[in-house]
Parts: sequence; structure tokens; C-alpha cells
Amino acid sequence: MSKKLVGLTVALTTLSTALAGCGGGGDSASGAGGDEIVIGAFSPLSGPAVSASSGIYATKAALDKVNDAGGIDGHKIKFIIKDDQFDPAKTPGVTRELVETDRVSMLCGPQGSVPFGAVKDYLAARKIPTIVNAGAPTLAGEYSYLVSSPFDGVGAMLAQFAVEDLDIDKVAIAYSDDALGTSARDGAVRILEADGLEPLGEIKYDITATDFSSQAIQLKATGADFVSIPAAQANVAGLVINAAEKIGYKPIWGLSYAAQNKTLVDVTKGAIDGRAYFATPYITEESETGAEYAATLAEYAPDVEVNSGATIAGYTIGELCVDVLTKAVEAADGEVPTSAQIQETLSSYTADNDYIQGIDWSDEPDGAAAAQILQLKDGKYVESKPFAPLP
Amino acid sequence: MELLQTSLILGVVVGIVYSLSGAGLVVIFRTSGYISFTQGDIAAVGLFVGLAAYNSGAGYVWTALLVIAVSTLVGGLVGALITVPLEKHGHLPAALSTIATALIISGLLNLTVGGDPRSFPEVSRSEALSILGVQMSWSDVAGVLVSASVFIGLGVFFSRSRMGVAMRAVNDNKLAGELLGVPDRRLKLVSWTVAGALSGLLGLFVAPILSLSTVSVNTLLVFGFCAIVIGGFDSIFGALVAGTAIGVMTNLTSTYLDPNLVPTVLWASMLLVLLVRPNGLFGRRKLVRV
Amino acid sequence: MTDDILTLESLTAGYLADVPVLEGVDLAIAPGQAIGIIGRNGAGKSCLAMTIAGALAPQHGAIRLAGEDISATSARARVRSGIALVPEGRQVFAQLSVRENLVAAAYGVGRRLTGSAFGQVTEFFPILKKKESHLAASLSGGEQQMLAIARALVQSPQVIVCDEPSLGLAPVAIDSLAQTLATIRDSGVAFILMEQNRGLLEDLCSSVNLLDAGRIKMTVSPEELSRPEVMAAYLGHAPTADAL
Ligand SMILES: Nc1ncnc2c1ncn2[C@@H]1O[C@H](COP(=O)(O)OP(=O)(O)OP(=O)(O)O)[C@@H](O)[C@H]1O
Ligand SMILES: [Mg+2]
Repeated sequence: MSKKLVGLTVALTTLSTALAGCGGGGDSASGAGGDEIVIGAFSPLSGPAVSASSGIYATKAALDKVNDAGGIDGHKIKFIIKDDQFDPAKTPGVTRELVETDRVSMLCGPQGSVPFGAVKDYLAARKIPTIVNAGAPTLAGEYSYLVSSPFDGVGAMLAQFAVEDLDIDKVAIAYSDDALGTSARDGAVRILEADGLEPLGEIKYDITATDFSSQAIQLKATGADFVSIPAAQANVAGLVINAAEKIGYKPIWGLSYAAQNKTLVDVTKGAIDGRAYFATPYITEESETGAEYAATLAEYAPDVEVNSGATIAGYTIGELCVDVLTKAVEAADGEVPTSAQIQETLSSYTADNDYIQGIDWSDEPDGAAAAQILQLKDGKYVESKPFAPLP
Repeated sequence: MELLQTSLILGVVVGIVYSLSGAGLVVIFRTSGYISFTQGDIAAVGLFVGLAAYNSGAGYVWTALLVIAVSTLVGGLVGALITVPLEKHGHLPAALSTIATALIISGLLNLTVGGDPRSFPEVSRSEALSILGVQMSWSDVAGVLVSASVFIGLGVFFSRSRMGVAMRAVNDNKLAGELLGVPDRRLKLVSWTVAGALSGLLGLFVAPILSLSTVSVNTLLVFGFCAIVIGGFDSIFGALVAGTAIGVMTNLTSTYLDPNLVPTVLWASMLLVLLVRPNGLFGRRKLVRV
Repeated sequence: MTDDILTLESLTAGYLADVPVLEGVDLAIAPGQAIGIIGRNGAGKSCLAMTIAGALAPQHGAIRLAGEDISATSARARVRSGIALVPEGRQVFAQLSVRENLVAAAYGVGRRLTGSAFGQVTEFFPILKKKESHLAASLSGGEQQMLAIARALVQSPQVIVCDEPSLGLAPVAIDSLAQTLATIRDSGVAFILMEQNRGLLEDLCSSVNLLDAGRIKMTVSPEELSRPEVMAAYLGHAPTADAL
């Protein structure tokens, strides 16, 4: 009897996991008129990862602003967003709809390393270029262009900041055993070794875990004054930090734009205020350009969180898309550019502007080669070290 | 050495919470004979209501009471309106309905409150005591004490109280229960209500650690499920021991082997127990007469 | 008879709504009286027991307890009003201890199992006291039967319906069961005994009803059971049906 029930229960667990993947998809469209430039993106508009959608709303805000000012040389941009719930099993379906039904000429800011990984080859085969809103260096390709700085550089910059600017030589690293985590770890180790140091510990964690007390214990045992977790998302970073601070270990924390948002502050209950630094290629609301960004967001996407790294990244990508499309329209003699013309523009595009520095896609389709360091202070992200090339 | 000590002690602390998450499952199992997959979502409803109250100025005690009250109510309603009525078609439809209900509740929560993790208040973060150099906050101490009393209470309830015995009787032989006038429907509703309260209670200890999102309590129930399989479905004491063992084992695996091995070790040990002792380490082997 | 505790009036009932098993059954029983129901396999004895206990609803006719029509009430209500069933096949709670079986039975009538109630029933069945904390599944068949009767007793019923209590019991065990049931009967409890075992019927019952294909064919005294024409009716070889 009980054996049978256990079997049943295990089967039900599996089923429920499978069922959890089901759900409707919604789409939203904007723009109207004759000679439209049709572009698209996928993003989790519903489901458990819905909070990541702030990025896509910010991308849309940047595009809406241009549309309200008359579009690009008279062409309005129609931006079609499809919901993939951050589920790589759903991403291919919605991407196919975008390409084959909606006939988008490019993707602008689709979100997430894993979902994009599921469609990268398909898009390349269809020759549809994409400016990706994700950080994994493996995603870069002939038709996929990255904006966010590579985590190797982010990890390196945080280590350099600890040693040179904070004058700390006891540094430990916490990382997840995946492409993002290990490249961030390797970047940090590279810099420390160049300074004749080595990390006091390289502690591995599992991003799906619920209990991080083991990592906390190990980090505490290193006695490091600076702990770098460059690739962690806010929720995981929050759990690691909470577990450590709970057992009385309170180092300085090195993080990145991936964790820079309200969730982290919320989850850690503000305990790390003044002790957390974030490496990011993006601007802040407090900067000069940031004021314009904040004003646009307040008008076009008033509900999203202005200070989050994901929002700022999304907005920056929107601005980049507008710039790329403007150049592509020029190249098409004022007509709506084709995918091939957009790809042509992208493959020789460089950017060093108020929003982002160090983009050179004529060389490699990599993310920004420059970043700044922000400090969390009184709940705000303030500049601690200005933009500089990644070491 | 300090690493080992700390791993062991923190493993016990988290393991006792795992056991608590198994307790709610056992209560429904012992009356109805299947596992409810809705408990995490029932807790989530209570926790979100509690958090709203907390954010509008309610103190911790009122928040905690509200969480438990709402979870109790939701648990009772799910049992009364959905799952128990479906039992007349057999265990499978009833168990499936708990999955459906879980997905519906979490879908509604995603729509209304969204998927962002939020911080949830706790008893107190200040240090209560220190065991072998490991500091424990009042929240930890409260978690251990509350879990222990819940376990003792449930153990006594099922073995000593008339209602607890009647609950087991109904699950043991439904026809005999009916013929002897044991009110099985009412007892099942009581078990759903009690399980709802336990889920809310569990949520109060899980949410501050994992932060509150629509999935946080569910994530932990996996460990509770393993705890009752390893400990034995009908043994409250077994769930306590197994949950604690899981806490220690996962912690040591993460520290000394590899954190990514934790789920493997967890499920492998569950399968091993099933193969060797299908009724769990502490479960009574069922006596069958033909 | 006004002092009958339980009366059945042209009772028609069955397991399925449109397929009657019992047709037009009339019975009356007084406190302290035991009556027997004898019949071949499939005659409808268990159907009658379940209908009296309220697990099956009558299609026609009435069941009266102390004059009050209880035909429409639930099994639970009947237990509470004083009709206890010792079901066919014992139906003990196998994974509960002997004592817990009795606790659950008492709970069925909204009572707790007092020490004196436990003492009273284990006086009838001392072995149950000895095996108080054993799992019911570990008892022998006869011991389980005692437990099933003990469960009915702790509900302090006015009427006990026993569905084939002697099934699977050794002759010695049946004798001692007969003595025990007689003692209980003499304390004022009414018995309806569905049985195939003539010994038990002879020891306990004041009259025996022969049930055949859902109808009461004849009512005889226990001594008359051995008469050839009664045996023939019971065995289904009634002269009219035996034309070959
Ligand atoms: N659950 C049921 N559903 C439908 N018909 C049933 C059911 N149980 C029994 N029957 C039928 O009802 C009739 C009476 O069965 P019942 O069990 O009452 O006989 P019985 O006299 O108790 O027999 P036995 O001596 O074998 O116990 C039989 O024809 C049987 O096939
Ligand atoms: Mg029968």
C-alpha cells in the first residue's frame, strides 16, 4: 500500500513539475501606421520570473519616446513583446512566431541567458540579428550582440577595486558552477595573482539551493574582508549574504549589476548598506544622463523600478536599438531597413556615449568593455569609482 | 574542526524546519492516505496577507497570528470544497486536485502580488545563545522549540487523543469507519485545517530565511517530502529524525563534497531507503492478513 | 407488539437503486430477544444487515426503532440511536491496536472509551485485555471477531446486528461465543443474527427466519431447523422446485 502510494506520489511530483510549465502566453504590441519598422523581443511577462520584465518595459520606453517624437526618419517602430515566462521550453515557440508570423527584422533586448541560448542558432540560421539583454559570453555570435560587460571583466574589476581602492588583500570568492560563475571567478583570480595575491577561498554554491549555511560557514572560515559574488542574481546573493551575516560574518560584498535592485535590499533588510559594491557598465539614476533616463521612464513606464540594474540595462539597449536603426535607415536611403541591412549596421557598430562605453562590435560582438563601481548607500546606488576600462 | 561543528549545528537547525514541513504532509496522509501538494501555496497566501498587515503597521505577533489564521482558513476551504469531495472518486483524483489547486493558487498569486522575492519579518535576529561557538538567534531558537512542540503535540494527538485515533481508523478502513459512525468527512476537514495551520507556521520560519515569494515554501516542502519518506509515512518521530538527518547530510555534502551534489544525495538516499525499507526507517511494516 | 425495539415493515432494499435484493421483509424484535436469519449464499443476509445499519437505503417500507421511523437516517445517526453492526468479514482497523479499535468505535457514538467500558467488554473477551496494545492485524481470526463484537458493545447499543460471526471459527470457539452473546442478550440487548451455523442459532435465538432470494420463506423455532422440510427449503430443494 505505502509502496504504491510512494510511487504515485513520485509520479505526481514529476507531473506537477511538468504541469507547472504550462500556462498561457500573452503578447503586447505597440505602434501603428504604414511604413513601420517591426522589431520584437521575448521576456517573462508572467510566471515566477515576472520581476525580470522591468528590463523589457524600459526597452519599450526608449522606443516609445522615439515614436512620440515622430519615429526614425518618419518610420514608427512597432515593438512586439512575447511572453516566454523565462522558460527555455517556451522561448523557441514565441521566437518562431516573432520571426515567421510577425516578420520582425531584429530582436531588441530579449531577456535571459538561458532562454536566448535556446534560440540563438535558430535566429542565426534565419539571419535575424539580436541585441541581447543577457550576460553569458557564450551567447555572442555572428547575429547576436551583447551589451552587458562580460563577467570575467566584472569579476576582475571587483577584485582590482578591493585590492587597489579599498586596500584589502584578504579576498574570497563565491561562485556558481556555470559559465557565468566560473568566468567571474577566473577574472578575479587573474587579477589577484597579478598582484601577487591569491583568494583566501573559492566557495561554490548551487543557485537552486535553499540552504546556504554551508557556504556561509566556509566563507567565514576564510576570514576574508572582501567577498566577491560577481555573477549572482539578487535573490541568490541575498540568501548567501543573509546566511553569512546570520552567523556573524559581515565582510564587504562585491556584486554586479545582476544583483543591483530592490530585491537585494529588501531580502537583506538593508543590512549591507554601505558595505556592498556593484560593478556595472550602466549609468545610475543619480548621474546627469540618469536624470533624462528617469524622466523618460517616469513618463512611459512609471511602474518599473528605476534603480534596478535590469531596468537600466533594458533602457540602454532600447537606446542602442534606436541608434542602430537610425544608422540602418540612413543606409537604406530612408526606407525601412531589411534584416540584412540592420545586420550590416550592427557588424560595424561602435558606441561610446552617455549611456554606455566600450562597445565595439566591429571587432567582437561582446558587451561593454568599460564599467563603473557603485556603492549602496542609504538605499541609493552612488558612484564610488568612475567608468574605466575593464582590467 | 570549527567548520565541522558549525556545519553540524546549522544542519540540525535547518533540518528541524525540514521536519516541520513534513509534519503538515503527515497530518493529511494519516487521515486521507495521500500527499497534498497544495500546502506550500496555502502557506504563501497566509504569508502574503500577513506581510500586507505587517507593512501597514501590525506588530510581529499579530502578523504571525494572521498568517496562521489565513493558512488555516485556506487549508480548510481547499479540503472542504475541492479535495475531500473528490475523494469519492478515489485517491488519485483527490491527489491530482491538490496539484491543480497548487498551480491555480500560485498562478493567482503571480498575477496579484508578482514573483518578486520580499523580505519577511522574523521573531528576532538578535543572538539568543551560542552553542560550541555557533551563534543562534532567537528566530532559530523559536524555530527549534516550536517544531519540537509541534512534533510532540502531533505524536500525542495521533496516539492518545480520541480524534487522532479516529483519524487513523478512517484511513485504515473506510467502510468500517462509516459503519461504526466515525464522521470521516469531518475528520478529514479537521486534518486539512490543521495541516493549513502547520503550513502557515512553517512559512513563518521559512519566509525570513528564503525571503517570501510564491515558491519559497514549496521549495522547502521537497525536503519535508523526503523526510517523511525516509522517516516513514506513519511515523511522526521518524519525520523529525529524518528531517534533521537530511539537514546535516545536505550541509556536510555542500561543505565537503560539492553543493551541486545536494539534490543527488538527497534523492538517492530516499530511493535507497525505499528499496531497503519501503515503509521508511521508522515506519511500521504493515501487517497483512488474508 | 408495542414493546418491540426494532421493526421492519415490508422492507425492500438492494445494493443498486433499481435492483431490489430484499423484497417485502417483515420482522419484529423485542429487547433481550435474539432472532436468527438463515439463508444460502447470496440470499441477501448481508444486504439486510447493511440496510438495518443504514449503509444501504430502503427502496420501500419502513424501519422503526422504538416506534420511530428511521428509514431515512444515515449510518452514523443509526449508530448513535443505538443500532450497532458487527459487519461481515470483521472489518477491524488492522493497523490500529485493539484498544484503539475500541476508542474509534466509542468515538463513533461521540463518547470516550472509559475504563469501566473497557473493563466491561474485556470481561466478556479477556484475551482482548491481554492483547490490548497489539495491532488488530496481528490477532487470530477468532480474536478479530471478538474485537468486532467488542467494538459494537462499547457503543452501548440497544440492537446488535451480527453478520455471520461464526465464520472461520473452530467449534469450541463458537460455543464460547454463544455463551458470551447469550450473556449480552440477557442484559437486555436485542440481537439479529445472520448465520449459517445451526449450533449458534439454536443456542441463542428464539426464532429463526429463513431467507431465500430476498424473501422470508418461513419462520421457525431453532429446534425445527433440523426438520427435513425446513432443511429442504434452506438448501433450495423445496419439493415444488425439485420436480426433476
Ligand atoms: N456490492 C454489491 N452490488 C451489487 N450487488 C451485490 C453487491 N453485493 C452483493 N450483491 C448481490 O446481492 C445479492 C445478495 O448478496 P448478499 O451479500 O446480501 O448475500 P448473503 O446472503 O450475505 O450471502 P453470503 O452468505 O455469501 O454472505 C447477491 O445476489 C449478490 O450477488
Ligand atoms: Mg453475507
